[in-house]
Amino acid sequence: MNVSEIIKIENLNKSFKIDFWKKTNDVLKDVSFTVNSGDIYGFLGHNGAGKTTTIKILNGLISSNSGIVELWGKSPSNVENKNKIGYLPENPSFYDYLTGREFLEFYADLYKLHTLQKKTRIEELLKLVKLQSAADRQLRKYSKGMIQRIGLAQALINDPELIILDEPLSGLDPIGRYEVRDIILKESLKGKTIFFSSHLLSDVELICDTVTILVHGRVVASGKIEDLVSRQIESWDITIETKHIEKISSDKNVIHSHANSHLIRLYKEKDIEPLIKKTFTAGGKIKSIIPNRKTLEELFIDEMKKGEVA
Amino acid sequence: MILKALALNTFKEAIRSKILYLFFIFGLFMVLGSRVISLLVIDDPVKIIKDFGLGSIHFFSILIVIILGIDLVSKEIEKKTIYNILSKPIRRWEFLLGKILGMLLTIAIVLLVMFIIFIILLWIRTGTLHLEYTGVVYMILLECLILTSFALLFSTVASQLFSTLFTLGIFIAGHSTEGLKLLKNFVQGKGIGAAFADFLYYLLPNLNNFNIKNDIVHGVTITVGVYFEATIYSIVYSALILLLSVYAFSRRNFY
Repeated sequence: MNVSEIIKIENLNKSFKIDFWKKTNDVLKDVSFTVNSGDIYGFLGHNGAGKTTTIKILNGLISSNSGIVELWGKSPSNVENKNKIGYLPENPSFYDYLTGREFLEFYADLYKLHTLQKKTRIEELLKLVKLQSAADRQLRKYSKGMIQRIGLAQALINDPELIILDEPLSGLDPIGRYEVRDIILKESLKGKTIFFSSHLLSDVELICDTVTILVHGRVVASGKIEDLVSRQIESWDITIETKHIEKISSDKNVIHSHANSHLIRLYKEKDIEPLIKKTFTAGGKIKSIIPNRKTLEELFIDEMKKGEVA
Repeated sequence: MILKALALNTFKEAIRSKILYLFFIFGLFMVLGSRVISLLVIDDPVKIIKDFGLGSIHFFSILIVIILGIDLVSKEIEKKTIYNILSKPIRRWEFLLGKILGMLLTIAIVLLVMFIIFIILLWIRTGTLHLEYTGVVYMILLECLILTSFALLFSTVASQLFSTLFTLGIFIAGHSTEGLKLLKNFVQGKGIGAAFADFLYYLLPNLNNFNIKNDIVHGVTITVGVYFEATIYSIVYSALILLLSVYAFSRRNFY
């Protein structure tokens, strides 16, 4: 085992029946990926792709059918390991008869925090998630955003090394999303490893360094974001200044013209050089050449489509 | 510490739910009920308060065990709170044991409050404190422990409706085990029928073991040995049922 390897999943398979009368559904098919120490790891997929199932297997809530699932080289059911993990479930539901403070105290007790340590930590977290004024209100009176924030606080109560968040940004308003992202980044700066699932690509792109994309239970792409998106240059946008555009390019490539300025889109790298030559021959100028890279969103949608065809 | 936290959480849930209403209903029921009945029946009014009061304490504690007990695990699953709690560094058996201890604490406090109301009512009528009934209430607590362990077992494997029916079934069967002996005599102590009656007799909890109400009301002295045996019986029986729950629960997946 690599020292920095925190989560290792190899050829993980899981199938189950949603209903007694329905046939078995293959939820995860040969899923493999590794999360290393210090990563902000995005786990992407459409609804029903198998993200939550994977996360539940990581937390020991569900057993796998086959494959290797290890956290720090140990099984997910290892109780000692759980002391190092913080987890926030998807659309969390908590003991709503407890007040915010009691709720955090309860979880602090499960992690055996000492009285003084517990008090300080709870105040710190209430401040972090901005729930100090609602700390003595019962959770049944909390809004969805507040539940998500107190949920985040309980996930951090034990100052975990690994933070697993299942759709932490869903259902939050833009400010809420910004605040949660901010908390994630702060924890990352402290050296924590963060593994979180999402179907909101823009958020993942903003904060993650590494991603795995799951489509219908299968990993379709995995790696550093810059590698995944920069590998794929889709097209080149070339801006040319000339009075004789007809001598340089066919109409179908010119996507925009304004006075003597023309924007030409080429899809093949080999077409760039002849275009430049023609431009100079016609007495024109090259103003810019911009490669259009795939965004994570486009990559995701492409992979989704491929997955659906398969 | 973990068990304490889990037990206190179960207790907090209980006292912040329906149970307070039950308290209230019980208080009214007992105070009004025993007075009204003592007016209607030509009998010793003090005896009526004793019979009716102790009967009510028994009835309400069993009711509370069933109402809260069947929710112990199934509600966590239904409300999806189970995902978060089981991802924490606790073992599944600790989760279940914490639930039982929390219920035991709840029932003990409910019984205590009901008993205090009963004693005060009796004291108003007779002018003496009848603390000899403490044993009756203790025995009810032991019976509740067994029923809680059954409710917990059913709660881990069955829906709320079935859990209610099964727990109620155990309560009724547990008070009818003497009937199995009669059944055995009826089939003349031989064959499969008798063996089955014997099997059920030893398998089902004999809840009549905990019924010392009539003895105390009639002034029979109960020895320490009886309490001791009942305590051991209740703890061992509940532990076995808890083991079954742990077995079922530890294999469960929470989709």
